[in-house]
Amino acid sequence: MKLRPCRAGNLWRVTDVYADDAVLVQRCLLGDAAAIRALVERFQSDVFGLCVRLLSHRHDAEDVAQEVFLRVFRSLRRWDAERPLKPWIMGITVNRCRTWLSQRGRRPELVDYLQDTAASPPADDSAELLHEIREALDELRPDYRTVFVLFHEQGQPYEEIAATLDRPVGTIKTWLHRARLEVLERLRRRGMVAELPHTPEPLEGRGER
Amino acid sequence: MTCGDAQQRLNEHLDGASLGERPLLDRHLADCPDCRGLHAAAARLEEGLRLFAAPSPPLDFAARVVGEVLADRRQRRQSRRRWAVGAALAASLLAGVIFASGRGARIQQYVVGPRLAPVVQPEEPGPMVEPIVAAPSPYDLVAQSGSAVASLPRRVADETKLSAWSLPNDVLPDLTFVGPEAPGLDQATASLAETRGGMSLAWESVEGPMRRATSWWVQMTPSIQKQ
Repeated sequence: MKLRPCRAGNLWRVTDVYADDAVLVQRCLLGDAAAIRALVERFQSDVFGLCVRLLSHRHDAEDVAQEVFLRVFRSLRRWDAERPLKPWIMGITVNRCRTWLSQRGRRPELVDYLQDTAASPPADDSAELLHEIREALDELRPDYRTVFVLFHEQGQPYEEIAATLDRPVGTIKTWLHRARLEVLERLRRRGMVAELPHTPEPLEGRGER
Repeated sequence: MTCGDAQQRLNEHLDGASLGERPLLDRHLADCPDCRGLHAAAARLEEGLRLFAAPSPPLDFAARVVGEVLADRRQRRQSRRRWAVGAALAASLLAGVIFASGRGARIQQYVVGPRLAPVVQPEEPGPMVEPIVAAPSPYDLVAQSGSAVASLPRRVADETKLSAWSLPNDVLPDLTFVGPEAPGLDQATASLAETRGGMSLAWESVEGPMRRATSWWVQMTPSIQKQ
């Protein structure tokens, strides 16, 4: 941590020296263990979260996430400082997961989704709903699943996802649209939606994002 | 409103946009069970997504990763150093041999061959050079020597440290003795001499493979044998 003068008034504010990507990477390249730790801690949730969703297996996800960071630090010199760090790291994550899946060559093992659920215990068919959504995600092709998870779970904007997957924004939008339709169709097929006569009730949570 | 329009509105809504004015949409949903089902499913999806919590990594994950990264860096650094030393030794040996023979092109056919190039026996082998029968090629020997050089500073440091620790024990008791039989310098610095011995042992592991590699080249180069 470093003290840096704050423009608003004559106060001194404690600012994280690692807040800036370029500075953080520079310190990592110099072998600063604290900087390495700061980088891991900043991205571990996103990297690990994506690995869990793509591999559907917590232990595999741990191994792959660890491998991702090893690769990140090995190739840190090749990172283009003109571009944001996060999509670069997430791109490496997607690639490692793809490789892992192709080597594993079998259907992902099931992971107990209840352990991922929120603290409030579901009272109704929520557990089943989560299970069905998860199954629907597993049925998606990897590109669609990646986009779905990055957008809906990690809240990344289209531009960032496009940078991560190195695809145009239009392609990402199309993939997400198709992924949603497939998930929705499955929810209907699996009886998770009461097919009632039309009631003009508004969709929940509209306009929240 | 068509089904395509209704899907488009649904997609925009899931992107975070408000559904806005609904009369047209409601009218379409009232008439179209498919779109109605999709919109109802979207409401369930939103409900489910709110229950999703992003999986958290184990508590010790960051510490473990940092340990792995640091260990990986150490290992890669040592490996690079070993290769650099080996390559430098090989280059200097090669340069020396080429210089000594004065026949670079002729040497090259031996050096750039397969790892275990068939030993071409000269018609009249030189009396001083023993034929090489052992398997390790000069490349292996140079690499082995490079490894030894890379590990040398550590061994020297260890030897020096040990002797420095034992030095006071060797010398100090005798320094209290005043008289004609005061210890000689050699006796007082015996541990330093031991260090020299240790270093020379360490150097042997560098010198040995290099001598054998050189011997291989000498044998393969008639022009050197004749000198």
